[in-house]
Parts: sequence; C-alpha cells; structure tokens
Amino acid sequence: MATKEFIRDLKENEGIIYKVSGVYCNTIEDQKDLYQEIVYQLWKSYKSFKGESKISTWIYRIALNTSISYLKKEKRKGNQITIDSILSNRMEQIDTIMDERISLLYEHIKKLSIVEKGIILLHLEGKNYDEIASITGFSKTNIGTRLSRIKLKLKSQLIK
Amino acid sequence: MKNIWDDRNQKIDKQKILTDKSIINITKKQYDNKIRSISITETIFAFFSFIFSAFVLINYAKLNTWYLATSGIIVVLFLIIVPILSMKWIRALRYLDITRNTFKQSLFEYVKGKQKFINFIKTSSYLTIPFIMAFVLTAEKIFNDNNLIAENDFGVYWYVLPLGIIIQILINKWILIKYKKTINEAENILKELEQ
Repeated sequence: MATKEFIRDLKENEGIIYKVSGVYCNTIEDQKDLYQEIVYQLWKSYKSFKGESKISTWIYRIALNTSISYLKKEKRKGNQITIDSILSNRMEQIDTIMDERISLLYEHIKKLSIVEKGIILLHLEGKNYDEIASITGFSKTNIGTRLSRIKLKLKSQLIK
Repeated sequence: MKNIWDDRNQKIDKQKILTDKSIINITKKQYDNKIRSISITETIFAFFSFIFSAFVLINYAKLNTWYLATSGIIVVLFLIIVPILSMKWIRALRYLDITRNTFKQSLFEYVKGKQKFINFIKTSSYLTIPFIMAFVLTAEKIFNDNNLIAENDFGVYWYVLPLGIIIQILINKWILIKYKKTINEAENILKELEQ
C-alpha cells in the first residue's frame, strides 16, 4: 500500500527531481545518476514523511540534501550503476526540447554557489519566503538578502 | 527569468519520465549498489588490520619486555583505531540525515565532515613512522623471536625508516593535490553559510 502511495506522490512531483538534478549536475550522465539517487533516497525516507508539510516541500528538502552528498565526482565513481534505459531515453527527450533561453539561464544558474543554486531554484519554482526558509534552514530575512544578491549576480552575468 | 522558467516547467510536466516499473527498478538497483559499495571499499582494509591486530594479541605473551609490550599495544591500537575512525568519517559523509536536516544543516555537516576527514588522514600520516618502528619491533619478535633493542640490531631500520618517510611524504603530497580544491571549497561554503 505504501509503495502505491509513494509511486503516486513521486509521479505527481517528478518534475522537482528533474529540475534539482539539472541544476546541480553539469552533464546529462551525472544528472541521470543523481536523479536515480534522489528517487532512491525519497523511497528510503518515505516512511518518515508524516504529512506535516506539503509533499512537494518534503521532496525539495530530500532532493536538495541528496545533491549535497553527491557533489563530488570522485565520490560517484564507486557508486556508478547502470542507468535504467526507459528513464535514460525519457530524460534525453526532455533535453532536446530545451531552448536557447532556458539553456542560457541554466548555464548561469550552474555558475552560482551550492547555496545560491538551491535558493534561486526554490524561488523560480514559486516558493514563498516561508517555504524557502523551512526547506533551507535560513531565516526569511536572510533569504530575502540572498535572493537580491543572486538576482543581481544573474543579471550581471546575463548582460555580459 | 521567471517566465522562461515557467515555460520550461510546462514542458517538463508534459514529458513524464517515471513509470511504476522504472521507480521499482531504480530503488532496487540503488539498494543493491549501496550494499556492494559498502562491503568492498570499507571492509577490506579493516579486515586485514583486525586480523593482524588479533594475531599480535594472541602472541602478546612473546612480547616479554616493557618496550616490546608497549610497541605491541601501539601496533594493535593503530590497527584498530585507524580503520574504525576512517569508516566512521566515511559513513558520516555518506549518510547525512537528509530527512530531518534542512539544506543548511546538511551542507554544514557535510563540509565539517570533509574537513575532519582530511585532518584525520593528515594526522594518520604523521603516525606512519612511529607505527612502522613499533610494527618492525613487534613483528621481528613475534615472527623471528628477535629482540632488536636487546641485540642492538637496528639494521632493518635503515631501509624501513626511509620507506616510512617516503610513504608519509607521498600521503601528504596526495592530500595536498587531491583535497586542495575540496579544502578551499569547504572554507568558502562555511563562509557563505555564516553570511
């Protein structure tokens, strides 16, 4: 029964995993790898989800936290597994529909620091300061200050 | 910026990636893989270290002077403590509490863990020479019944000690090359978190 619920929740929110893995990885192979790791971590932690927050908030938290321990290339070498072929094909399909503007935006977001990437992603996803604060652990005021700084940084990068 | 992102979101939402089957496949594969990676990398070094320390303990009665007994204890402690601590740091880095931690806490724990792990490798490398000295003294007595100190026979150290020094230099060089970027990154992240 829990497996059914998990699959339903995951499928409803799968876009989150795609976007988080896209922001934190530089190659499609790494993205596929991180994508699978996030799915696994969500499955492992699903029992601990008590419904105190929205399922999407919980998924963002797990996905961002998983990305941290997945940052180093050398760490992943020992953990490589065969990528699920269906998953792989579908992810590549999405990649081909990425237009120039979004590629440029992604390119600049990837240049930001680990913390900044997480905050701007949540902001672009339409999360309010309360939600961003509860996922990231920074205060609302701090989120505001950081967001202004990130926007300035992105603007100056985009103008160049 | 927001418009571009929202436009992209719509496209992503239309393209469903996951199927029931692929979710089950991913969780199963990742689980199998975790079991494999833990058993290979973390246990081999520990296994041999524990075997040798058990061997020293079984033959401990042969270490019949205070300095041989002390060197035996040093060898056993080194061979037990180093692998345990090493596994502890690696596991701490690998298994952050991603369910309870916020992004900030996870990042802080990860970076602090990295720094502690690097410091641990550095400290272990400084202990290489005392360990080799104690190891040779202990092994000579247990295997050859030869008390190097009583017989004033330090010939073996002429090639073992330079070897130890080379190992220590190599480990330190390796840390410097391999972890220099990580150390700098860790410091930058910590600064950013404190802002």
